[in-house]
Parts: sequence; C-alpha cells; structure tokens
Amino acid sequence: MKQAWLACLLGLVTASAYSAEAPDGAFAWLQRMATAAHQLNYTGSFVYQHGQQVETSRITHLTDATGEHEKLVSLDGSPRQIFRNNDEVYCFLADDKTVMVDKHHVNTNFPALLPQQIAGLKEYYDVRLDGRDRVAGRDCQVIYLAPKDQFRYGHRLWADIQTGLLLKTSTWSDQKDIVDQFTFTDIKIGGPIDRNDVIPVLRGKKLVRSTGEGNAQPLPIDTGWDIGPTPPGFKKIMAVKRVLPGASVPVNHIVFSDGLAAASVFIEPASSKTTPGLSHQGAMHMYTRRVADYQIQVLGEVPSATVMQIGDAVSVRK
Amino acid sequence: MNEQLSALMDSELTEAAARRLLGALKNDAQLNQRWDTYHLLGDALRKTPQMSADFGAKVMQRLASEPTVLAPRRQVKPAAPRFALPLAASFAAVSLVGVLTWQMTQVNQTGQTTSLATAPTVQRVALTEAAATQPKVPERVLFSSAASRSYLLAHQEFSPSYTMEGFPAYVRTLSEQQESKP
Repeated sequence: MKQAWLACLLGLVTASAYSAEAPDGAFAWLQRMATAAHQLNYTGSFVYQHGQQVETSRITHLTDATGEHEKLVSLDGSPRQIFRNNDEVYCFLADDKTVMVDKHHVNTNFPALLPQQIAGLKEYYDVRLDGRDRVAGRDCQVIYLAPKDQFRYGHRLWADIQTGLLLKTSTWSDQKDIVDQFTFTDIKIGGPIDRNDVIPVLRGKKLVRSTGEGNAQPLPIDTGWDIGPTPPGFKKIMAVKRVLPGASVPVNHIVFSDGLAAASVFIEPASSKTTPGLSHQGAMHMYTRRVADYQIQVLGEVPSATVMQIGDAVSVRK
Repeated sequence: MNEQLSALMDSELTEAAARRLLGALKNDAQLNQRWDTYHLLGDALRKTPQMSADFGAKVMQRLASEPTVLAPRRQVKPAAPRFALPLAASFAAVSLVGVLTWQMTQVNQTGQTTSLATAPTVQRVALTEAAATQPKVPERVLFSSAASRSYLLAHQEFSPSYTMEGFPAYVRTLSEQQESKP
C-alpha cells in the first residue's frame, strides 16, 4: 500500500517537474539522474580525489523487491566499508572489528528531486547543459550548476546518456579550484547482482548502535535555540533529537539546505573533546564553537563561509 | 542509633537531633539500609501493599540514566551598557578584518601569491591593522573523518547529495586523511 502511494506521488512529482522543465533539458537530466541512482542495479570502481589525495572505492547497488541495498568498499588504506540496507546503515570502521549502526527513521530515499528542491536550484544556481563527454568508456551528458554567490559550491555532473546514471562529478569553489571529484573508471550497469554481496556480514563484529528505539524524534517547536540569519537560500528542512551511535547523550540535529547543498547543525553539551575551530576534507567543511556549556558543530558539503555563518548564528533564545 | 532511627520514624526527635541524624543518613550507607528495613518492617506490620524491595534504588538508577534535556537555560538579559553600540561596531570591524585576514591566509596557504599581489589596497590595509589587533579567527584544526564519522553519517541521511548522486556521496563519510609523502 505504502509502495503504491509512493509510486503515485513519485509519478506526480516527476510529471510536474518534467512539464515545468520541458524547454530546459537540464532539470529533466537532474531528475533522470536522481531516479537512476536509486533504481538501477550497478557495480563499479571509482576514484575520489580531494586536495592532494586520491582514493579508490568499489560500489555495488541493488534495488529489488525487498528494497535498496548498497555497498561501498575502500580499496586502499585501512579497510573501511559502508552498507546501506533500506533504512539501516552499517559503517565498518578501520580497525575491522567495530561496526557503527545507524538507523535512519526518515524516508530520504525518495528517488526524485522535490519541487522545493528544484525551486532552490533555480534561485541559487545557473543550471544548464554543457555538452557531451566520455567517462568510463560511456557517452555522457554534462550538466553544469554555477552558484550565484559564494555560499555554495559549483558542480559539474556527468550523466550516462543511455541510463541517466551519474558517472562523474566535480565540485569547485568560487576561485574555480576543484575541491573534490569522483569518477567511475569502470562500471557495469544492469545484469544480475548477488544479494549476498550487498548484505553486511556482522558475525564476530562489535556493533555500536544508537541507543533507544524510536530514535530521531522531531524537535519541539521551541528548542530553546535560535539559528539565524542563515546564508541566503539555506532553509531549515529538518530538526530532530537523536542519539548518535556510540554516544550516550542525545544531540539536537538541525539541517539547512538550498535544495542541493546541505549543512547540519549539531548541538550537545560540551565535553573535554570539544575543539573549537574550522576544518575541511574535500568539499566537507566542519566548524565547531562553544556557546555557554554547549558544543555547536556545523558540518556540510559547503564552503567555509557557510558553516561559519550558520555556526555563528546559533544563540540561546532570550 | 537504632532507637534514634525509630524515634525519627515516629517524629519523636527534636529538630536538632533529627537534623543530625538526617545528616548521618546522607553519608552512611549501612544506616540508610537500616532505615529502609525499618520502614519495610513497619509496612509489613501495618499490612501496607508492598513494592519491590529495591524500588528506591531502581528509581535512582532510572533517574541517572535519564537523558539530559538539551534546551539551554534561559539567560537573564543584562541591562545594555551605554557603550554597547560602539563596542558592537568595533567587534564587527574586528571580525571583518578577521575574515579578510583569514581569506588571505587561505590564499597564502594554497600558494597563489598572484591573487595576493593583485588584492585591492583595502585588503592590504586590513592585513596590517589585523596584525596589530589580532582578531579572533577560527583556528584551523585537522579534519578527522574517523572522529566525526557518526556526525557525517547523520548528516548524510538528510543531505540532498544522496538523492542526486546516490551512494557514491557516502565516500565523503568513508574517506580518510592519509599522510602524503612525495
């Protein structure tokens, strides 16, 4: 029943998005990409580059009658893997003994861009088609998203012409420097995938779960915190109280998004481990500060100016 | 001591003696247990319906494991001092200088000295002023994806990058800083 309802809604959303975007092919391509990423079966290797670093990973994605199953394995450095089994995410840590289990309670696997996301994209980015190219031996359509201000990164996306699957993406700063990019080097789309191949083997592993069933509860309207003003276009899309895997105290988790990029704000009691400052890895920036006895942590695939402005906008409601 | 306990139960102690005994109860686990036993005996004699023997201990345990409520304490707004406005203005100026300096250090770090040379004069002035005032800029700390993995996972759940890019977006969670050697 739920499936049928979702399919119906998806049809509506896709139909409206397509009709609104008929003259401009770029948005139709973005929709196609979102659907392909979650509904196609594929397996392949890709290279992830950020700063001076290059990492290789292998990915397998399977959608069948039981839902969506995916696996991401690092091929170099310490052995790390992530599995996603519908709403459960298993993160195998570098020691090869511990597995972090996070249960996602909100259905975010919606394989389409929602109308408000498209509205955000239109307002804060110039979106257009940017010719054709070849990635992993396949012909691609390039889609170009140029930000209209310095609070978000620019993107270039390479979508497989035949299936719509994203085969390469590069993220760049307002100085036109590439901050990170991933590229498939080989990929097999379609064909049979063994389900056992995308199910995590947990025997002999130490599981670190988030405590408490019914985690990620919606926050009350008055959380006692004010966040604002946020950078242009970053609207609050989610606010929950949750216990992260391995933690004992709940955090307030509030997410701001412009439709494409997102920044998460985590508010929790400060501890001795709280180190205020700014750090980044590829496109991911993290900004930590203290407000009274609390640690404010802002994290997202956005420029430093964005995490800092959001972090500095957090205050105790007077 | 036992007599005093039963006297306390029957409210027959003087205020001073009661206070002394309550103080002793706070620190003496054995005495505390005896106090519980006396009540249990009293309940049994009066045929009061029983709760489990360690009911109190269980309540305390539950209280201790109760999550902390995250809403911050309301702060009493202090009366605004007269120099608040000029102070705020100078803070704004300092933080502007801070951002500018920080951006310039960024430029320096990436080695693009060309943009530094062509930077407008106002920024160069800002730099010298900044050196004098030493504004508060965020410290650069090392990004440890290992330490922040649970936050990255939680963020990824709601990030539209997963809708658009699919599972490859999780590579940012999995990534690990490696030592780069020439």
